[in-house]
Parts: sequence; structure tokens; C-alpha cells
Amino acid sequence: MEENKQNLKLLQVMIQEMELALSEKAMTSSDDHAQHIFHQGMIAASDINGFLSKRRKELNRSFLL
Amino acid sequence: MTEILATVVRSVFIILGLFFITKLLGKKQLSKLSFFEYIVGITVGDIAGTLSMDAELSMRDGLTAFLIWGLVPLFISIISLKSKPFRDFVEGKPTTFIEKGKILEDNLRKEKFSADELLEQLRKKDIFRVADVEFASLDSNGELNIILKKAKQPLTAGDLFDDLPEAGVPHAVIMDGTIYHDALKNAGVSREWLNIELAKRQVKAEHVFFAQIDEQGQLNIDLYNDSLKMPEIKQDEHLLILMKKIHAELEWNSLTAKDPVLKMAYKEYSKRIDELITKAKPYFSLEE
Repeated sequence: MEENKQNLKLLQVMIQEMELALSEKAMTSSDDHAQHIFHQGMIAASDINGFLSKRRKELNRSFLL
Repeated sequence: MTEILATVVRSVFIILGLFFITKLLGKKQLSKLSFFEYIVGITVGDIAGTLSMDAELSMRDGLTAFLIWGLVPLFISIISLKSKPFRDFVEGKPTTFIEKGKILEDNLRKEKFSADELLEQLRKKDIFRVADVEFASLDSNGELNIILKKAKQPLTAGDLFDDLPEAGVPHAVIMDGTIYHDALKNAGVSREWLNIELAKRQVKAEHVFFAQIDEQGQLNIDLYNDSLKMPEIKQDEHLLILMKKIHAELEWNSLTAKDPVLKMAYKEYSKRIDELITKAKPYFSLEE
């Protein structure tokens, strides 16, 4: 399966779900170290989400050209 | 035979006429009708019934009466909407029966309401002491509206907490196996999200009789076959599977990307997710 708009959208939905689940874990966790890891995960998810949004826009633009 | 046919034709036309008149008059519930609207409704129904049954009646006269009884109330309701004094004149004003725990006897008399009837109406709303009522008024549709004194009002969540989240509205996203995209949009979720949620429960949309997204954004599913058990999804297990799936997708994109910059970006993100899985896994409660 090649990189395409549909796959990227699906991946983005999964990333957003992961971010939400990690934020829930961070909120319910009493361990400081675990909280730190979950927060790092949320940052990674947010970075990937931003990258995928940018990538989808690029694909849209190349499609229009 | 021709008489029967004439009755059928008349009746069908009258039913269609009634349908359009009720559409024109709007969708006020029966309990919300004013006395005037109530009388108009009965009269229009009576004209329609008589016109439908009595072949000797002139159709022209009947339709004229039918239209007048349908259109005059329509004009009255349009003017009522625009003019408050006219509305008060047509629909009447609410009459106050109780103020600060005291019964206003003159108003009761004016509306031909006895004290017993007032108490009965209060009892229907679980109020047994007139002194507990801050304000009660009789609306033009005959309904008694009551405000209890502050100390007697039931406690609500809003009294206890200042920042309560909005209640939200549940959305029916699947009915009879059909996915409703408008409902998905209103719930703020995508078709992909629904597909993932269904896949988690190992069901297909066509097996679902009814699925609703509740106020918390959770999907509740009712299957056609109630004997089927959907797998219980453990949150941590699901998160781990999700992270592994994301890792695999990113890895695959890094392998298939032609642009070296893209290839590297996907590789880097896949590595970050892989590290996250390794670090986070010990803090997950997983069944062995």
C-alpha cells in the first residue's frame, strides 16, 4: 500500500486516537516516570499528526497542479 | 358504483387538503394549542368529514368553507407572531394563581378555577403545600406552570459544580445496518473512526441493528444477533495494538517512499513510536 491521501488520513485518525488514549493514561497514572513517558508519547503523536497534515496538503496540491 | 367512486375521489382530495392545511398550520403539539386553535381543528375536521360523506353537499361551498377555516387561523397565527398585543388578545395572557406562597383568589375566580382544582393540579406536580410555591400561573393552553421557592427546589448538578461540561447529544450513526454520514459528521467523527471502532469489536456495519455515539464519544452497539458476544476490549491492550499498527504503517511508508527526505522522516517517526512502545509497555496492564 503506497502513501496516498486515504492512507494518510487513516493513519492520522489512528494517531489522534493514540494521543487521546495516552493523555487518558497520563491523567490516571500515579507514577511520575510513567506520566513522563506518556507525555513524550503525546508529543510524538502531535509531531506525527502535524507532519501527516502537511503531507496531505502537499499531496492535495500536487494533485491540483 | 359511480357514487362510491365519487365518495372515494372526494375523500382522497379532502385528505390531501387536510394534510396541506395541517402542514400550513405548523406542528404545534395538541397540548400546546390555544382554545381557538383547538376549536378550529375540530371544525376543519368536521367540515372535511361531512364533505367527504355527504354527496349532496356542494363541493365548491365545502371547499370554500374548508379554505376559510384553514387560512384565517393561518393569517391570525402570522399576525400573532408579529404583534404581541394581538397575540395577547387572541391567545390570552397567563393568569397568576400563586405569588410568594399566597393564592390570588380573584384570579382563580376570573378563570373559574376552584381551590380544590388548584390543589389537584399542584398535587399532580408532587406539591402538597401551597406555601412551598413561589409562583404559579395558568397558561393560555390550560397548563399550570409552577416555580418552587428556592429552598424547596430539587438539588441539581449545577448547584454543586461550577464548571460542568456540556451535556451533549447522542447520535445514532447506524440504523438497520446503514451508516448515516450526517450523524457521523454531527458527532464530529469520521467514517475511518467508525471503521476502527467496528473492527475493534470484530463486527461489520451490516450486522449492526443500531449504533449510537453517546455524550462521552463512546460507541454503543446493538447487533441483530443478540446471542453474539462482542470481544471486550481492554484499553491498554488496544493502545498497544494501535501503537504497533501505527509503527508498522510508518515503517511501510519509509520503505515505499521514493523521496529520500520523506523516507527519512517516516523512518524517524517509526523509530520514535518503537521507542515509545518499549518504554510504555511495562506500565500497561496486559493479560499474558
